[in-house]
Amino acid sequence: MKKLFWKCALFCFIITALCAFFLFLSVKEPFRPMIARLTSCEDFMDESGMLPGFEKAGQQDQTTQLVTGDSICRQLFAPLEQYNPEKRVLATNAALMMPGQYLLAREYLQSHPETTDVFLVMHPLTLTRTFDLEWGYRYAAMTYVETDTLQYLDESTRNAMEGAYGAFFLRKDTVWMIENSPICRKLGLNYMNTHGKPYEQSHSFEIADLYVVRLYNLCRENGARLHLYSSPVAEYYREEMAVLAVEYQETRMSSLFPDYMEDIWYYPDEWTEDLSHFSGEYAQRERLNEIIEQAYGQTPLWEGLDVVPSDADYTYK
Amino acid sequence: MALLSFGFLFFMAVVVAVHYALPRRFQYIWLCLASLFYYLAGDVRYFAGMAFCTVATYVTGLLLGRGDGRGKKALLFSCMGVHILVLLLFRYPPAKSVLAPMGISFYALQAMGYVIEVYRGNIKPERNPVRYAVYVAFFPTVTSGPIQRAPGLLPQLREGTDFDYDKVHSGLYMLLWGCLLKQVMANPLGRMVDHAYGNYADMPGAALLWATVLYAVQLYCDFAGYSALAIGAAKILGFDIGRNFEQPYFAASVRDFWKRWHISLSSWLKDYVYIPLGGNRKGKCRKYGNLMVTFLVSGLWHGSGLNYLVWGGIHGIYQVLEGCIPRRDGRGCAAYRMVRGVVTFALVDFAWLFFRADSVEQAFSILHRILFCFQFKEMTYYGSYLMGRTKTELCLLLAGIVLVFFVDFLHERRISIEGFAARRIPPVVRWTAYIVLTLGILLVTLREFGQGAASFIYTRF
Repeated sequence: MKKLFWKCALFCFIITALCAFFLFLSVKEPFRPMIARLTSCEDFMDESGMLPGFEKAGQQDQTTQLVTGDSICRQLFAPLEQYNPEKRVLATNAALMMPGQYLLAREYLQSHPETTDVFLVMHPLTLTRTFDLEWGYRYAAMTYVETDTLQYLDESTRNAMEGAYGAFFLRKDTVWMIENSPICRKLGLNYMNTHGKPYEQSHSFEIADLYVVRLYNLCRENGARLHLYSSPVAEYYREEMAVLAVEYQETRMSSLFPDYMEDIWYYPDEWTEDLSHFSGEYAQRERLNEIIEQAYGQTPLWEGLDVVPSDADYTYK
Repeated sequence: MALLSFGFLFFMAVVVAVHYALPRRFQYIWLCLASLFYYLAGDVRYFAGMAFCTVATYVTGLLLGRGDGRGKKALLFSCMGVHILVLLLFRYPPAKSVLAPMGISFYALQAMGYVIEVYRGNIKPERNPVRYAVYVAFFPTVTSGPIQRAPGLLPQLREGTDFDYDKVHSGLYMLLWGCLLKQVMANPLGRMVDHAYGNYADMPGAALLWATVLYAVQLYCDFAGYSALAIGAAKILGFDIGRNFEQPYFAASVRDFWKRWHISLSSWLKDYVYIPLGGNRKGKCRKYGNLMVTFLVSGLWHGSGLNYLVWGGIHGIYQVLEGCIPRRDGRGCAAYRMVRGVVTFALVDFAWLFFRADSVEQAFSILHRILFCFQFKEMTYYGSYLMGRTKTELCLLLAGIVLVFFVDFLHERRISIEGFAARRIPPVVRWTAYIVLTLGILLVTLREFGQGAASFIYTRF
């Protein structure tokens, strides 16, 4: 029996060592893409796209206004950054969630003590996002861990993430492996999908409410002013927005931004293909400028905003 | 806990270590605890079904051991009737909330078989309730078989087992082979078949025929793979639980096929359904009737859909027709045997079409497309034969199929690969082969991971 035991132990050791070596190679170039192809993990090689925003936020420059928000905000304002030297546009994606927007703005405020305004442009549905199994781990939780900003979140938020994803998946080394090894990412995300449990908010704006208020206070401490606006919303969602507006009134952020839901600018469904972003001719710069003027013309966001000349041609990608 | 999981490997390591550390007379107690843990790890709610079956058949066995002739038959029929009703309840649940205990179709037959054997006087009733519980809930076989016979397993449980190096070694081989069949062959083939059958209305008939052939291989690899895992796990513990497959696609007739496919179920049906109905002792008409009933019961056992009943009925008709064809003396030349083998495969695969389809209507629709919308050129031009795979993957799968059938060919010739490897192949080469095979299994598992790979097909029975 001992002989068999040692044989099995040796066999297991060899297999484990070979697997560990294979994993090691999977994070190293030029083996990474080869191993991804071999193990059918090509879909797990993309970057989240969130980290550059945090790097940019930390860079010192002459900007004094931050424009941030979801991907609709990015579509509207990102191309205008080069024409507005006082504005830094760091809009990313709804998947970053409100805690991520808070951390991003915090990073910006720390490196820009002269900041006067922070413009937060978010679709109401973005503000209802929770730590789900679809995007929440990959784009929110992993970003917070990778940027070393998890510590600045509220304990209740960290607990919510731990409950949804497990403490193991919030460790820096785990996140590093999932980010850099397509094998680990495939295994990790699929494991999450099966064993994770999305965080259930007590009301639709639970997580966002906490961080909008925190951001508001943070801005005040830094001598800046926080502005919260809704992204333009397709007509399709009008009824849903009416329901959300009632819940919004119960939040703390409604006392700071009472007009957020009231000032939503609605557009026809034909202007969009995915009911979120503008498409076709409405994605052309000229139309986007018109949309910005119509949606935000009465707000400080529009004041002093230089839009791209009409003969330029920018399409949202 | 699936047989094919890292959790099970760890579980087995612990169970085996304690099993051989215990004196033989106490091993069954440890196996009972292990089996209970294994079964309840699936879902605690399964316990009720398992407990009912175990207690009911245990008590019935004791009573049958004491009772006289008049009461015994009534007792037997009552016990059988209750268990059949329970199986029907879970097969045709009155509400969606009714949760079918995992493996009930298997362990219920196993328990009923025990009662029948006691009734017939072939074995004495098992008095030790814990030992009997192990017989019913023996963890390697509880969820998907092979269905055990009381005269085979109970004496082994009474005796206990000593560590046997060769047996354990053989068990490990079987585990490796089972993993290969299931992970490397069955899962990828399953995805291809799902792709074809899921889009059958848009697939050329040639591709659907190809998918049906692949399904025959998938089903074999899936179930034979699981059986190999179960048999291997039992062997590591020192128990022999018999083979469940004997190269079924080498069968020369449908009758021969059923001596080689899911042997534990087909022999159970023969001994406890076909023979009690009269078998072939009451004339030809009665024999054919008994065959039809037996295969319809088999169809019902496999599933509640009408397509399963049709599948069983088709095999019953095959058996009847084969009975009508005069048997040829001698084995015939190799070419004749090969033709017979191909014809048998075609007949069996035709029936598998009904087994795989979601309904009889779908089966006929697929059959219609195979017969009247063959479109072989379109299949090759548009690549629908790939069914979601790349050409490289398909080639590797085909190579795997060749390997599986080559191994079956060797077994058909009574050539033991294990014995050959031990005698002729140097340890370094053997170990390299084991390592390469294991890494290959892990690689394919990783490739298929998260792609909706199927759990054991027979687990839902």
